[in-house]
Amino acid sequence: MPLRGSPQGGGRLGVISPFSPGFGVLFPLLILVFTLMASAVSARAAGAEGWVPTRWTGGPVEVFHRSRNKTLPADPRLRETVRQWYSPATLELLEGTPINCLLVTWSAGADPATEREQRRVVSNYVREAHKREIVVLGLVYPGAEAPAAGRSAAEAELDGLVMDGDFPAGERFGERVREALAGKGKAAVVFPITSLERLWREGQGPVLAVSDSLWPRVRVFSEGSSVTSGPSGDPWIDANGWRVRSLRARAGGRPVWLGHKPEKPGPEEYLRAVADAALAGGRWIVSLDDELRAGLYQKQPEVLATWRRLAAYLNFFEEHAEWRRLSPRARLAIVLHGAGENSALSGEVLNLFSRRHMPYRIIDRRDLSRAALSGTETVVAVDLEPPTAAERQMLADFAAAGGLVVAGPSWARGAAATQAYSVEMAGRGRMAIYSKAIPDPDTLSLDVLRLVGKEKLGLRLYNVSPILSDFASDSSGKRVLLGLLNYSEYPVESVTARISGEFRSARLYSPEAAVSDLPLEKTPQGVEIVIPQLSICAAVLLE
Amino acid sequence: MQINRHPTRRQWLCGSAAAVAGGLSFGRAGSLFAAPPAPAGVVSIAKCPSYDENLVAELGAMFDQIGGIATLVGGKTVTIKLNLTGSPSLRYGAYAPGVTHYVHPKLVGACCHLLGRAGARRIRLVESCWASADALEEYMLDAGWNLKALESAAPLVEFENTNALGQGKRYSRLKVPHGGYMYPAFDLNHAYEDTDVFMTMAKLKNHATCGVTLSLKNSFGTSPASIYGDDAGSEEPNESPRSGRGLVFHNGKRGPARCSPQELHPDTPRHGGYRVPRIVVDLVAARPIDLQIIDGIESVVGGEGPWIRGSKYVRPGVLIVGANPVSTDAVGAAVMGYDPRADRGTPPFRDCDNTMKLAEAVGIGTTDLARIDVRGVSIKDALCDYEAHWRGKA
Repeated sequence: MPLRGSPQGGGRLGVISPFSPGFGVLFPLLILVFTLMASAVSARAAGAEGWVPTRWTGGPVEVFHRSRNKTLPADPRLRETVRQWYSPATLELLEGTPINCLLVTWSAGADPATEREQRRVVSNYVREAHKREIVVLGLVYPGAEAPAAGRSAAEAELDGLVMDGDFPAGERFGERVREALAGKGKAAVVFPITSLERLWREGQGPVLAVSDSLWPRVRVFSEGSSVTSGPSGDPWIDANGWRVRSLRARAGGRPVWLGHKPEKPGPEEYLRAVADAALAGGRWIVSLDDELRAGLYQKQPEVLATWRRLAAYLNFFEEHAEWRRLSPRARLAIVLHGAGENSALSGEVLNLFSRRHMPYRIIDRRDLSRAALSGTETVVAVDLEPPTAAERQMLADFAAAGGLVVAGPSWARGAAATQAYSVEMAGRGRMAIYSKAIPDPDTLSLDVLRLVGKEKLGLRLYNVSPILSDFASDSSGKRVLLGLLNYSEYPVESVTARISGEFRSARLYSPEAAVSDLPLEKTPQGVEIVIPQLSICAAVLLE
Repeated sequence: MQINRHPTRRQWLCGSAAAVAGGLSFGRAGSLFAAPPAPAGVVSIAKCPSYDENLVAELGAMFDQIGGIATLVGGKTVTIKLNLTGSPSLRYGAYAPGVTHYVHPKLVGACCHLLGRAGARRIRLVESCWASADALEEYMLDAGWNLKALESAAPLVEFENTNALGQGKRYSRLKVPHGGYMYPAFDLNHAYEDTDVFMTMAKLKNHATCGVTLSLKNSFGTSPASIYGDDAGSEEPNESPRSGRGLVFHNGKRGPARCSPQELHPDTPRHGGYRVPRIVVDLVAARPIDLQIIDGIESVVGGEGPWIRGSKYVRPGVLIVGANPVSTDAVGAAVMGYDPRADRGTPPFRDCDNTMKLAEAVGIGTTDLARIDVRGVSIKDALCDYEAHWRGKA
């Protein structure tokens, strides 16, 4: 069977003859149906890049798995929803949404009878889903038996298997699943939802799916409206844009998914979860909490309203899928050696540069080259400690040509510096050399901001303490997209952006409002725009 | 006037007698008993429930009630010290800073408009921005302010961050006429000297160290962190300050940059409740405040900003305008439900000296409500019991 949704997948379109009886009467309707089907196929024909995923778990194995993990809800109504989820009626919920990829529970190493029952229920569901041109991937949890999961997945015509959790055998488990599939003459996709650090290190599979992404929010620790402030005085935000960007830097066009699950969120938090991934060019694996799923199962009006709003957000970003193809617009590059010993700190550096609204692009260490540095004014290379001779020469040349290189102590000449870092002239440029191999990420981000100067970042944002941004452009640099996501529960008014460059128009896009033009004010460096109010998310396209 | 660091028993008794007569209990300001009564100002109070009211009309009427501003500001440079305390990013949940611990931009705009209409030649908005020497305009943008609205409110509106040298070429040394409780003089941004009229726009709120933040306490922020900040240079100013003034002013654990006048009495208590009220009075004496506006339309109780645990939003719905900072603050404190002559240990001065009484002691103005000419709404009708609000019993 050709892989559903894969580039070689052919879909299941029937042939319609113009000579069929009643064709004239049915023609307009057929056109409509054909258009809808074609659009569905086109999304899937794009392969994994076009998949819009949701964690669609249920059935007896899911009950077993969550019981084992002690996450099964106590409320019998909620438990029953989990057990009964694979009723064909739940597929109707997907109508009007762009979701076209279901992650269904497949195997968890339950007793044979439970596993059999799961396969029976899901196999029926897969057939129904395929009729709707929906890709179905089976979730395999730790405890599952690789050969059995692979063979049964092939028999059920699943489109792939996804390993979700900590598998002691690691990638070996995936290989055995692939072998089992191959034994059945199938080549369905197999990939894990795994840690960012492992994805940085291995990065295999058609999809890079992160397990340790965070539920996006302003983190609240104490009573009332108090928020936890970081050293900058801003509230602390759990966000994932930097995770997506770091993976996209090495994904080679493969999609990046975020796998975090909800923790009793309010309706608007789901919208933030969608936007948090999408603005950076990724996708959140839509995951619903038990209460919401039970409400959907029972078709409760207020829950359906929340679902439709979530669908509107998903649709918004899929309607602007071309935004994913834009590249970071930044004069600052961070060389990432994510597979190094200090990957956690590498991540925190990216996080804090994002938090300070310093546009950056990531250069995977393996891709570091003179060409990759083109258009860059500052390179943060503390992850290269020590650099290879070739890297050292390349960065020295970059500084000599007028750039700023921020590097670690292996660059120091003479005695160790007594200050956190020292600045040395290097040709027409500068080298900022840290005395510690692992500078504190917060200090580093602040130091770099001062070394570069706010006015030279290409983007300055004001009144954005609970907001994070994404700044990208096309290859010509003439189309620039500023994405903004408000992580707080309240709207922010008068967000001002000063953007370097010449632009003639600025259009404001939001999932919850009509497109509108923003007035452009010229500034010495470029233009200034004011977004009157930001409820959750918006994007400004400048041309 | 010389500071009397070690009063004799006779002086102490005389001072005590004066204190009884005038409700004072401070000896450090010198021979208080010999001083003439501190001047009493005219203060106007207005009820104003919202920033959506016609603030130009409200404020204009209040200016008229205290005698009008045309003579004071006509053809002059007017500098307004705003209260924009703390980083603009620190907020009370959903509230914009202007409706809690900052003065509100609409009120600033209305004030600028009235000053311009009264003939002010130049209006300069100033504040020492928290831990920053960046432009004040950027600080305001970070608070969500509409700069263009402010700029268009009067013919010439300028902005200056006075936390460092700013647009000046040198610091202005302003002496404390009474000799100083703590400092004999201060080096301040040029804006505080290069002006004909100095106004303050404060917020009606509590302060963790000083009990209340009104027009007097707002002058604490005239001092540049480049010289008085934790990271001030030891010898020279640090023109990129990144800290507050905790070590120099609050705790006295270090001195200001040596290029500037040093503390008079290093042996005095290193306690904020002792130091900060006295430093505030010294600053106000060095740079007198000609006109005061207190924004009590919306505010906070229990502290001066969101970093004070337990502080919270309140809506007093009141504006106060006056021409003597001690009298204006005395009325402000009374509107908050406090006795403006309360001693240390009495709310809101639980662990601090009363700044207003310290200012009164050096002759800046009176705290005696009976001598203050209150116009517009009465204190009783404007009352908003801050203690009750803070305790959740309002």
